[in-house]
Amino acid sequence: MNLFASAALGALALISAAPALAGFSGEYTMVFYSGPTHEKTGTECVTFTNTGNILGFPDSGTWTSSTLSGWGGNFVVDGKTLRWYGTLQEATAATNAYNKIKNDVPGMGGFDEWNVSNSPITAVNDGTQRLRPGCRSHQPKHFGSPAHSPLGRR
Amino acid sequence: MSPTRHAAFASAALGAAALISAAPASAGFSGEYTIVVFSGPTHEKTASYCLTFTNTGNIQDFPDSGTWQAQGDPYWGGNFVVDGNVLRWYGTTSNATEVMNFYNTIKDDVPGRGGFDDWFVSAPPITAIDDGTQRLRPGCRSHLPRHFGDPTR
Repeated sequence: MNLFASAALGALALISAAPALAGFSGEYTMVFYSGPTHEKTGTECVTFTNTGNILGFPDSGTWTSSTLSGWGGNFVVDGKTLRWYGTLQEATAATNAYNKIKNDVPGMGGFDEWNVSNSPITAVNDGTQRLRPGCRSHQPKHFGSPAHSPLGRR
Repeated sequence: MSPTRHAAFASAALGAAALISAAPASAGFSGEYTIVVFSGPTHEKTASYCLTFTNTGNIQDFPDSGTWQAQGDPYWGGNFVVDGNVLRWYGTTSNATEVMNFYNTIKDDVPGRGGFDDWFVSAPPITAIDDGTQRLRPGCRSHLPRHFGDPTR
């Protein structure tokens, strides 16, 4: 009984001390590999902010780019997949991307960039991409549990 | 293998040369598929739609690529690319005010489960409509599916 009470009190303390949002967030460098041959064509710095309020997904939020003005959107962590999507160029173009998550780190994935219009639409760029933690001298924030953070694995 | 599939395979093997000469220029992914939508973090089954994929082979140099269109809605459609073992497809609906993007992992030349996002087009911040998983089931009701990849598979 005492053990139970102690555990209950401890649990309450843990709950009150837990961060409100402990999911995916931080700065990442997106490295593009374009076309069917996956040639490396560019990098952009993307910042993910966890809000936990995208359509009931507890691990979700928004993203924006510090290197490409006006580029941003939403993300959801859905099981073992990070999906993120948004617009650029004053919403005349769209980007959709996904990354498979392994060991709490987003790995390789795919992306498409295209001009928004009625069908038929016009493709701009399609290929694969990966998210590398951090942007130049910036330190990345954690993905998932801090114990499994990319920073901790370096 | 069902008798129908077995017969088709045997026929294909016997008439291989004729099949090769009659093959379309673009022999990749195409045909009718039913998308079954599973929404939200709990992945509740919420809808299904009939889609037609048409291989054109001309999307950003991807040899296996083309367009897709929802049956019964001429304003819901877009592009697709087969990129390695992943089918990615994306497009617009509702007079281009709404975007949908999808991916499906390909296994044994068949597109399996994947994810999707449905959202309103605007400058950031954007508004989500639906996010979740989905799968593509060959064919729509009584329609027979077309092939994915090599017809003998």
